[in-house]
Amino acid sequence: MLSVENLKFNYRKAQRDLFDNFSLELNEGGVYGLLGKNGAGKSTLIYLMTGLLTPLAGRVTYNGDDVRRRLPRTLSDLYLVPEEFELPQLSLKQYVKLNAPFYPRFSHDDMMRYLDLFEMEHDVQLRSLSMGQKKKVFMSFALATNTGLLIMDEPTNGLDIPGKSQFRKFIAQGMTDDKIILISTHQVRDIDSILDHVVIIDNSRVLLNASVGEVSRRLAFRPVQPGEQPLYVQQSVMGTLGVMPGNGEEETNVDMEMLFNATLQQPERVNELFNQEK
Amino acid sequence: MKNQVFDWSRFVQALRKEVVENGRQLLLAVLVTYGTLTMLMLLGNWMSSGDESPESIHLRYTFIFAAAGIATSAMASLAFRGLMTKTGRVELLTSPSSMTEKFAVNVVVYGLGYLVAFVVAAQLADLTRVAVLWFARSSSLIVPGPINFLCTVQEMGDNFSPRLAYQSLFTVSLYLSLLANPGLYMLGSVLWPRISFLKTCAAVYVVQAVVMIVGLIVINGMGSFQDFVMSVVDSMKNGGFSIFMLESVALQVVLYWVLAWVVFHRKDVISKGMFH
Amino acid sequence: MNFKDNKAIYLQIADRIGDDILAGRLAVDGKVPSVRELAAQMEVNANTVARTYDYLQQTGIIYTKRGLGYFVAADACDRIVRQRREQLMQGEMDYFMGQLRAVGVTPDELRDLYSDYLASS
Repeated sequence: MLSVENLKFNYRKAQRDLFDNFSLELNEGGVYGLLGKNGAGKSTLIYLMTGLLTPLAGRVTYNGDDVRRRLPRTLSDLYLVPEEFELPQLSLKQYVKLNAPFYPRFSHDDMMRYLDLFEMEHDVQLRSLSMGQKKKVFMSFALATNTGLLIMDEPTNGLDIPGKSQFRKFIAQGMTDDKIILISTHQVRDIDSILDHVVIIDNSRVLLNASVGEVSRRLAFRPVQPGEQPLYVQQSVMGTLGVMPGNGEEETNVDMEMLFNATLQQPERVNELFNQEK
Repeated sequence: MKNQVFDWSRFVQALRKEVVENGRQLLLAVLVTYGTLTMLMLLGNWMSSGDESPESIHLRYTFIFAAAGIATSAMASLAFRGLMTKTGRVELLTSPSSMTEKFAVNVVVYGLGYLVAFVVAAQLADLTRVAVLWFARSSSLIVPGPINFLCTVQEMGDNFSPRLAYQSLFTVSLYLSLLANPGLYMLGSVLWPRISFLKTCAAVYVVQAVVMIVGLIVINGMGSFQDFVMSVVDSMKNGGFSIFMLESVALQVVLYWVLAWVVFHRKDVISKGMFH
Repeated sequence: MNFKDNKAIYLQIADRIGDDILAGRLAVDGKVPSVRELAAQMEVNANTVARTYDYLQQTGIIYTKRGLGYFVAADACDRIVRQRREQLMQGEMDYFMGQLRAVGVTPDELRDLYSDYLASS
């Protein structure tokens, strides 16, 4: 379990705190989507979760250890796929030989499976790959480490359309009951179907942290009916679609993008709806 | 559960990763060292006709120590390459070895390891010089090189009788300074990952200048204090100075490496000031 | 798979499986893909597929054999047809008939249309 406890952080003292008394919990078996506008603090939160930044107050623990201590047992059970990264001038085989030993649960077979899924060859020269190919190779390695926590920052950025579809299959396949996968993105539509939890942050507050099941029970996403008070509406080819409080019976498909917009626009109403006991 | 501070197999794995990933650059550094030393030795005709005069010995001494000092400092400045960019820091700081192991890898590769490589390169450079001169059938006498020289060099001690290198505290201090210097530059490499060498040199000059100015002010101060300082200086003669130097250098050897280790531990992916 | 419909995804997937059974792509008493396999195929979260299979189990369309997975029930086709008939009659039929009345279609016209349709297909 990853536990963010009363986190306080900012980059410069003069500015308002980026995070103040911020708490969040992520549990095994969940594919979490971290959604937020650019600049909302998603990357900062990710760095704080992986021990890359030191909080001013509060702490982040993973499996009971404070991540900032950067203990090898913590680091070997988590993997961060950053938005940008460099690969050394080696072949993939050499890269795996050098890096896999740090991850005790690494599986060669898994990596081959993922490479096949991405239609990548099993051994390539890393420097000769295009950006999209590098991402696919790096992600295949990352998921093959079978760490309990996998965090990906804007993973679909730079992937072509078939690549995005491959990515969804990749996550759907690699997910297990004992893993936590956190995907941070502002391109919601690329990953909405594979999420089972959604965390929305803005101005460095958690506006929503709920399972997709809960969302589909408490909110409805469909054409607005007369007399209804939608939280948010959107014009589309199919007419006026809205986000409405659920009536407890129907369960509609959750449109993540609309959920995101609705939450950002009416955070208090959303908060109210989710904190009611039902 | 393996030790979380230092585990030998994990350390070796991290060491292998550093050496293989940076293999090209490391090899280049050693080749450049060898090439430069060869050039310099040929140009100065290093062992100058087997001349054993004090001036000649002094010159060779100065040359080899200066070369070693500059080379090891430059190499130490290249350590912690991962700290230079944000992507590098992300990779370095999430790599599953302890901060101590990561630090040790840099010490071994860019500090001690290079020191050994330097000595070997210097010896090879001199052998090359010998070979070249032999081919050219130069009339200069050929005398074997650095390692032999450094171990057996004789210094004029008290009463003007010669002593072997390791018997002189002063010389031992000089050797120790070869360990302190890279430490200082490695500290610089951690504090200022970019353009590290120049920034560390600048810092050294600034500190020296400050110390000198402060010293001058103190010495020109009150008379009684001046007497005190003079008495200290007096006591340093007759071997006292050598002891002082030895203590000072030994302290620096420990100080710089420990400080570098401490500052390295505090590093984050995004710096908030010099020591963070 | 396109999830543009407003219906909950797990139900849309259930419909797809129903289609496959009716069309014979999934054999009666034959094995159905595992939760994870289907999730990867559909590019959805495994929990969603788990819900689908729960729902299909509850409505008697599939059953589990301990340790072996999910299988299509013997009477799955009948059940699916019956369920869809109910849904159609109670839901869309109402709306459709409202549309017919609005444009003035008579019962005789409707019966003729349907008879012609059945005859030609």
